[in-house]
Amino acid sequence: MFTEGMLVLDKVLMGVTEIEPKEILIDGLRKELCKKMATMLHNEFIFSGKEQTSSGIDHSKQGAMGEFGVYEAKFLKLKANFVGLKRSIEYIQDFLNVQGEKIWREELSRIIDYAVEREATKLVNKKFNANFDDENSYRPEFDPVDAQDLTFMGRLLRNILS
Amino acid sequence: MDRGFYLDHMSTWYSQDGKQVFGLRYINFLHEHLGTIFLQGLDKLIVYNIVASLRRLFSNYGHFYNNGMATFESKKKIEKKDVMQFVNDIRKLDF
Repeated sequence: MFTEGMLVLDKVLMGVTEIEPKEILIDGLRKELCKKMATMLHNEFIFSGKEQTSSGIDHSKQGAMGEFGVYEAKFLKLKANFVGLKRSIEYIQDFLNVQGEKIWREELSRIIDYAVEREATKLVNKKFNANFDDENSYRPEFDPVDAQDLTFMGRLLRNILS
Repeated sequence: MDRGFYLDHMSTWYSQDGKQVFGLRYINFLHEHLGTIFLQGLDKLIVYNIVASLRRLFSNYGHFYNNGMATFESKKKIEKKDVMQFVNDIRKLDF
């Protein structure tokens, strides 16, 4: 059904403007994917310091993950969510005749680059130059959780350094 | 350093009491879960942090490590609370 729908889609002329329905669909997909991933990353990377391990391993022992093993459950949950999203986009790419893997990679790197650029602006007074000029793309902006960091990348790094 | 040490053979940072803090294992963990793109971003952020720290150090270097060779205006600027805190932190390090 998906495939049949894509095949009947054709270029539409609205006055003098030519509209390509497939492009609108891809734009929408990108936007929604970006929104979902950014929200997931933002919500998962909040380190309260009271986390529990899922496996019950004592991470203070030799050979274990140390302090970081404490956040194991958080990472596993994030991984499960990400794998699910990626699988779904890979699944639909053949039906819709879009490059799912490429969209996934581009959106993820855009979210991470955007977060890093925001942190960098604060750190080195770098001119903010994120790849988000396009009106159609979603800007992953969230309110900072704590006073020190603006994004999830900053929070993770602070957690590593502390 | 009073906070920890690095073992080259294990490629890992340890805390003062011998617990693993950060190293190959954690990087591998991040790579497995979030991929190469995330590690690239983290690397960039660490570099920005280093640059920020170096800039802070060298902007005040003349005043604190060169017997006060600084102008009156820059001295005034330097004697702010957060700058003094940073300089005191650096003095604790044993170069």
